[in-house]
Amino acid sequence: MSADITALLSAAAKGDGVAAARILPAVYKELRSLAAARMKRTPPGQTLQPTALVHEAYLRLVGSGSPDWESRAHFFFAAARAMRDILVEQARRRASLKRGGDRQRVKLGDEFWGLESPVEDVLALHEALGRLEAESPEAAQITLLRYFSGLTTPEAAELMGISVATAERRWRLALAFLRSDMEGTSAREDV
Amino acid sequence: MNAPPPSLEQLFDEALEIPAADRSAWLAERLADHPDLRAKLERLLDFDAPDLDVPVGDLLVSARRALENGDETGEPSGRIGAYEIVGNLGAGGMGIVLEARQDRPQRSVALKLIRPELATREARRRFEREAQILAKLQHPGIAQVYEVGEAETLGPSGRPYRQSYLAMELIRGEPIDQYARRHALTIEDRVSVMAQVCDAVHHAHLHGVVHRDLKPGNIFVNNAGYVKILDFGVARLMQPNAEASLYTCAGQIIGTPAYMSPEQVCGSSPLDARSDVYALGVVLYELLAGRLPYDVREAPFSEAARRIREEEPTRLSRVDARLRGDLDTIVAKALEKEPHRRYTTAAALADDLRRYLTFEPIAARPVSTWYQIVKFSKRNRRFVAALLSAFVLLVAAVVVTVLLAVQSARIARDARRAWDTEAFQRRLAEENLARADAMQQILLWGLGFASGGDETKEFTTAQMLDLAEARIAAHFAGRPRDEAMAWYTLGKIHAHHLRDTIRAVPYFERALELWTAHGMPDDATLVWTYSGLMFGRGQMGYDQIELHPLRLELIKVLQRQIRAESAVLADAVDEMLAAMLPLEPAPDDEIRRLTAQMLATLEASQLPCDSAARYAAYNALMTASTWIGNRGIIRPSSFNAYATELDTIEVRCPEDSEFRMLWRWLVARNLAIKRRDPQKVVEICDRMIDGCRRLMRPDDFFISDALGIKGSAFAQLGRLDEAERLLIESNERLKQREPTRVLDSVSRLITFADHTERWDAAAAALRELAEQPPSETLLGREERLARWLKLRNDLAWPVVRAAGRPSAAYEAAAVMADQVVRHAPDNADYVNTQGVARYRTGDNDGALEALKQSAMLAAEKGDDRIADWAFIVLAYARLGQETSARDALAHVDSLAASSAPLSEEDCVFLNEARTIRFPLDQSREPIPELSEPRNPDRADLATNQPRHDKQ
Repeated sequence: MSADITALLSAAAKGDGVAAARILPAVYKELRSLAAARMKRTPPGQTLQPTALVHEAYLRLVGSGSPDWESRAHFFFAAARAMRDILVEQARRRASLKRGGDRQRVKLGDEFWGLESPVEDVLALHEALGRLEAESPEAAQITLLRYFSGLTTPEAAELMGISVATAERRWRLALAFLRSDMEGTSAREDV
Repeated sequence: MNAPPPSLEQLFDEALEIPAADRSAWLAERLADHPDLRAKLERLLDFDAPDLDVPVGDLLVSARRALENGDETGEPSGRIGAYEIVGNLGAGGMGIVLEARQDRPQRSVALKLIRPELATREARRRFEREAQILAKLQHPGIAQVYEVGEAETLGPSGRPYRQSYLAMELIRGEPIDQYARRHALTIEDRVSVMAQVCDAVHHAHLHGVVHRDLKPGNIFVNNAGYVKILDFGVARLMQPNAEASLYTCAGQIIGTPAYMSPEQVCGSSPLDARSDVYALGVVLYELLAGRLPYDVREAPFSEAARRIREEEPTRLSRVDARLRGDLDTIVAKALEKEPHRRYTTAAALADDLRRYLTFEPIAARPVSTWYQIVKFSKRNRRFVAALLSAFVLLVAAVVVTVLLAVQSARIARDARRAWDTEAFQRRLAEENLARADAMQQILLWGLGFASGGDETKEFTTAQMLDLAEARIAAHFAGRPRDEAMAWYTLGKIHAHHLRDTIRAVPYFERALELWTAHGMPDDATLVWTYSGLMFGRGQMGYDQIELHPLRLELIKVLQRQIRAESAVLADAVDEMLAAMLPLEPAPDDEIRRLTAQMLATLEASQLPCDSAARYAAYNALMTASTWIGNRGIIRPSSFNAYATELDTIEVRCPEDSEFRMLWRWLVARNLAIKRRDPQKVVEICDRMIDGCRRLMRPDDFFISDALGIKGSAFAQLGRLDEAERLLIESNERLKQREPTRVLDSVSRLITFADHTERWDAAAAALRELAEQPPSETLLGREERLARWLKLRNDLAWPVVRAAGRPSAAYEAAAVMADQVVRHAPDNADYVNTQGVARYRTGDNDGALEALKQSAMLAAEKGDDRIADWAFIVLAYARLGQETSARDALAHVDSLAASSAPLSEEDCVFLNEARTIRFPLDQSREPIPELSEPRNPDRADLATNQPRHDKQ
């Protein structure tokens, strides 16, 4: 598994489009199984952090050596997307469980992740990110990397190939955008 | 024709360059042609905040709260309430920090602006409550919180909103690491500064405030060179509901993993002062080594957490050889993974740092012979030369006693922190010195004697202590307080280390005498003295009433300790004791109520598990409980409260202490005596044995006794082989080390045999005990001797009352009965036991003689007993004296008719006597001397009680 990913990552780094396309499902699968395994060993009431999972997955898949920049980038972009998908999928599943006027906040965590974000927040963030992508792809990307891959701004800047200063400005833009956007969307739940 | 619109990214970047106040004008001009874009950007800027370090969870919550409250976030305008903004100090975890001027009083302050997400009404209330506590923290080493409040202020878009803020002392200085680097501080300087830091942290701990986020960035040294700790309790302010958790709602981490304790990174237990002690250890490490113990700054959190939890840090000494020795030890102790292995208080850490600076022996360090030797070598070269010679055994024993003396100062240190008066400190210092002096003197005498020119001479600890005893008075002549300390030290070695509490009694008495005349020592010393005396005198046979004055003195001292830390608790304990301690204690219900009240107060006081006051409170409770327990007042119902409380503290305070052992012992022992809940007794005993093995010497009384208690419980559970093995082991161990306690273990063996008919071990143990005469200390003291005799009769009686047992058991009981009667020839019960015992062994003439005597003694008191006459019948019958036997049986029958209802025991005797058939056959066959063994009936194990209840 790990060897596969490494191979895929370096193939993708050399421009192999097919390999790049296969990274996401591989990372996705790894994250899922990792999370399931962690949850089993995590005492009830404690939470898993998605970013910690991504880092752990990274160590397992890519290893502690220093692979080339492109491989790292592929991994973290893929991981961020996978993590976002997983969270949203979970949130949707939970949301579909609560029908009608049930306003009680359902925690995501109890069955699978141990994450504590309210369903609505995850979905709202997901939608807001979609709108941000249209306005500023860079801002959306840095958000993904920070929130779902757990990278710092300088790390994200390196992977995105932009300066740290630019990354910080994009990040600031992203924060302002998400705040303002989500104020509108969360109106739905806070009657 | 409009120009193509600039991108949102570009516009946003440009806008950030424009001062907030000028933005409206700039927007109007720049986007005059793009009203939609202008509105969009305007909205974006409304939601912009300079703090970019926002975890996603905060963002989400922020959005929701902002909506709920209609609040906004953003840079404040020129004024917030009574504060005029002067400049921006930066962004912190809780929001931005501004420099401001306060109007009245005129001063510069650091103003922390609270993120709007904290601003729900409930959150505000809580925030204010906590801030009030912080405002009470006044210490030169802690940045003072002046005020918490809120003020109407303007958002960047010109809309007013309510801004919560925290006004704090403005510190001009630099972080401690930077300061140390820039001033090129020496190791000693760094240690000294850290001791200051510890003092400040300890002050906060005393007020119940834990920092939770200590790191160099929060520890400043101001321009005057004084330590100032920032953001005390702020971590909790920011995460009020996350007592044990580090995660915000989306799983982001707050705090700085590099300085987090293992319990903090895994979020497993509530944080207390010891988490701060850990962080102090990290900072100390970093200051000394120039690097972190674990370099986890770059590591992902999960990896950082794993390393902090699992890996041992590189020892300081490996980083820099100059840091070998004490500093290495101190830092290692502060960085222990298990909180209870760390310094329990920041003050203790400070103490050790200062001891390092003054070349005193530090308190940290597990038992290590070598360490003590090295320490002493700095004080006395000749002494060490002697130590290093061939007396390894002696040295080992002696070194441990020294260590004991050092450790015994711990309680005193805790108390010192509570009192913290100069006079007290001075006195304590003097006393510690005296104690160390006494110890050293005792050692020197021993070594002088031992070496005496011949380095190969064998020498025992006992010899050395005898030598000390002979020389103390002359050596300390004219220095009564030092002499007292020397006697005390000797007593403590005997009582607490060699566990010969009786031997310790005269030493403690002498010390107390000297102190009474020349001034009392510190409270920790007094606690040891009083409890040592009580224990020793108890072993000598003093009864509870004789011991009561000492108990009252002990409790007085304990109360002082409690009051020093918590007046409320001390009051509750006072009230409880007032009900328990009089010769006629209050009714059970009242005692239960007051005990519950005291425990509730203790709970509410939130004293750490190892605080001196908590220890003292429980100790007072247990001391008083033994008092009323011995008077038979604790009934199962009220005893349950103690058992339940034990369960509670086992869960809350996992660390073991000697005191915990005492508690477990009392509970297990009482449950076992009442034959209740054997499963639980086994569990408690296992915990106790396990704890004692770690805390005490392997042959300690508590371990030996716990084995016996556990054995009794196993017997109740029907696990007879294990039970027997344990009971025998317990008895053997007590025989070796605690001759005065053997009675208990023999009694357990007999009860076991009584129920199971396995008599071998019980008979042997009883025989051995029976052959020991009363010790000299008992002779001439009537009350004590009486107690001694009664306990022995209580052992012999259950053996002889039933027929069909092995003759070895009867013979042992007979020896015991003879011994008892020799000292109390006029006691009808004892003589009766003797008669029955003789009958059982086949000594029919002797039996008749004793039984007639006991019947006569009973008659003198107007008593006429089946227990005498039934056996008179049986003895006559065996002797073939038919007429006498008939007469006696007729008397037994009339007794039985007149004294109904008969006790269970009397029924048995009656039936035994009625097995005689007349005329007596010369073959004596029907006489049930050695009939088939009684069939053990396990169903009655729980109800079958000996005739004489044991205490």
